Formats: sequence, C-alpha cells, structure tokens
Amino acid sequence: MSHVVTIRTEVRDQAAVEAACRRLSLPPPVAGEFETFSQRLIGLGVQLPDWRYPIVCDLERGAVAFDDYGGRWGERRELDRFMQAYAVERATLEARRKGYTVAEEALADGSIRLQILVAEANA
Amino acid sequence: MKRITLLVRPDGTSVVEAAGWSGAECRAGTEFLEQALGQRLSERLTPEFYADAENGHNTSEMSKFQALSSSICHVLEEVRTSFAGGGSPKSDDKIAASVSEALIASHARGIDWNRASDEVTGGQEAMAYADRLNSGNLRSSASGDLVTGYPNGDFAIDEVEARRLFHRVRPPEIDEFVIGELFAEWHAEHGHCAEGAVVLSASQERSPSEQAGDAD
Repeated sequence: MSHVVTIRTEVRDQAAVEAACRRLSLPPPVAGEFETFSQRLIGLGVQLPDWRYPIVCDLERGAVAFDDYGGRWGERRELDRFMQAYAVERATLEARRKGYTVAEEALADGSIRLQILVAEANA
Repeated sequence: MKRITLLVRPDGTSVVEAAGWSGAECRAGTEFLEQALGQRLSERLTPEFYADAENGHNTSEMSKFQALSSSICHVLEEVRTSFAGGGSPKSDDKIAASVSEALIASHARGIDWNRASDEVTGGQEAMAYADRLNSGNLRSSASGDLVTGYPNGDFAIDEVEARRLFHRVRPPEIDEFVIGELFAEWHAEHGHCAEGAVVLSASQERSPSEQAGDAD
C-alpha cells in the first residue's frame, strides 16, 4: 500500500444515479423541478423510501438538496444508503471504462469494498 | 498486479487505498477515482510511497516518521469512527493489536518517537510552505521530494536535478552568475565552509556527443 485517500462523495453523474436507484430498487430518477415544504429545487429527483419529498441532485455542483425536517420527514439512513450506492456505481463505471477488473464485496459493518485490478498494460 | 481498494462506508464516504505501485505513481493511478467520486478529505502516505527505486534516493528519517505517524493516526481514526457509531465497535483486543502492530513496525525501523512528533510537524509545515510558494513551476510531488526525499538539508540542486523538479529551468543570466560569485567570495572570506559549499558552475545536461567524448 502506498497511499490512502478519504473522499466525500459528490453526485455528478446521471448514469451512476440511475444505477444506484436500480441497485436499491428505487423508482428511476426524474429530471425536473420539485417543490418541498420551503423551497423549489431543480435537478435530478430521487424518491427515497418513506421520504415526504424527493432528494434533488444538482449534477453541476455535485450537491444533493433535501428537506427532511431534521429527520421527521425521512430517515437519514436512507440518504446514506443512496450515497453509498452512488459511490459504488460511479467507481465501478469509471473503473470498467478504463478496462480494469472490479470485484465487489459487502462487509459486515455495512461498508462495500471494491477491489480494482489494474493490468500493467492499462496502468 | 497493481491493485486499488475502494472502501465505501455506510455514510457514502470512500477510502481509496493503492497497493503494488512504486513511489508516487500510485497518486496518478488513483486520480480517476478521486475525480469521479468527489472531494478529497484527507490523504495518508505510507512507507511504500517513499520508496523510489529508480533514482536511489534514501528515504529520510522524516518521511519514515511521517508514514508511521500516519499509520498510528489511521488506527486512531478507525477507533474514533467505531465509537461514533460509523461501524461495528472494535474490541479492546483489536484496538490493542492494531496499535501494537504500528509500534512494532516503528521499533523495527529504529524510530525514536521522542523525536518523531517534532520531525513530522516540521515536515508538514515545510510541505505547506512549499505549496504556498509554488507558482506553478514545481512538478507534481516535487515539494514532497524536496522536503522528505533528502537525508538532510545540506544539498545543492544542479541543473539536471532541477529539471526533474521544475517545469521551467534556464541557465543563469550574467548578473545572476556575478551574484553567485560574490556570494561565494563572501562565504569563503568568512570561513563558513571548507570548500565546495557554493557551486558556481552547476552541471548541465550534456549532448550524446559530449558524453561520447568522455569515453575517448
């Protein structure tokens, strides 16, 4: 091992959002304008389980906007699950695009580990 | 086989680890993931990062301290995360085993931890200062090479080496050369060095024909 980098996920890729929704058996994301209790949001909307309002992904800024009223209108755990699924799908798509081999493994603590093998010719 | 391990935590943050790469090339190898996923929160360099088999640079004590200190920090971060509910709590045995492993590694390398913290702090400050001074001429990782890639601070950079560190390098103008001469005279008059402390005619890259001339 030669270095370790920790990354905070930003949502910028529509294909990965769609793949994350499929992975979590969520309805497909919808692009458009969404009204929450206090604001109007524009972007790619994703309906999380038991959330009153959809979360809205601003792919330009990489940000996810939502109105969960401090957890009363939606469990934050569902948002975390979506962010995790997005990161896994995004990384897998990018690695395969470069011709790398990807193996996925679910861990006991809820993390997902991807092993990406880089052939010397592709390095 | 080069390998990249990506651990995506339940909260969506990711940890990228590179293995099987030599020296700083792992940074380039994992860059596509960093760009794809988002914003870098932290980076920890491991001892292998400093291994530079190509140019034979000795790994400095500072870099060893830095890497091992990072290993300890990583263990503590895992412990902190487990207590914060970000994962399954680690048992005392596992925490003790992780810390012991890092300490045994430091002992095997002859690390004096009484000096380590000052060295690491000094190195980190130097790296930050180098990055602030960088006007775009430094090659990637050059500040790291300068701060941690030398066994001590008493080194001179000649033109060949300068080209490895900087994008733009040129021979000195006449006035710069004169300043160098004056500085060398002042140095010699005040007895700051025995000999050879100031290099006026730094080595330059030579053409193949010049090198062939040496063999004649």
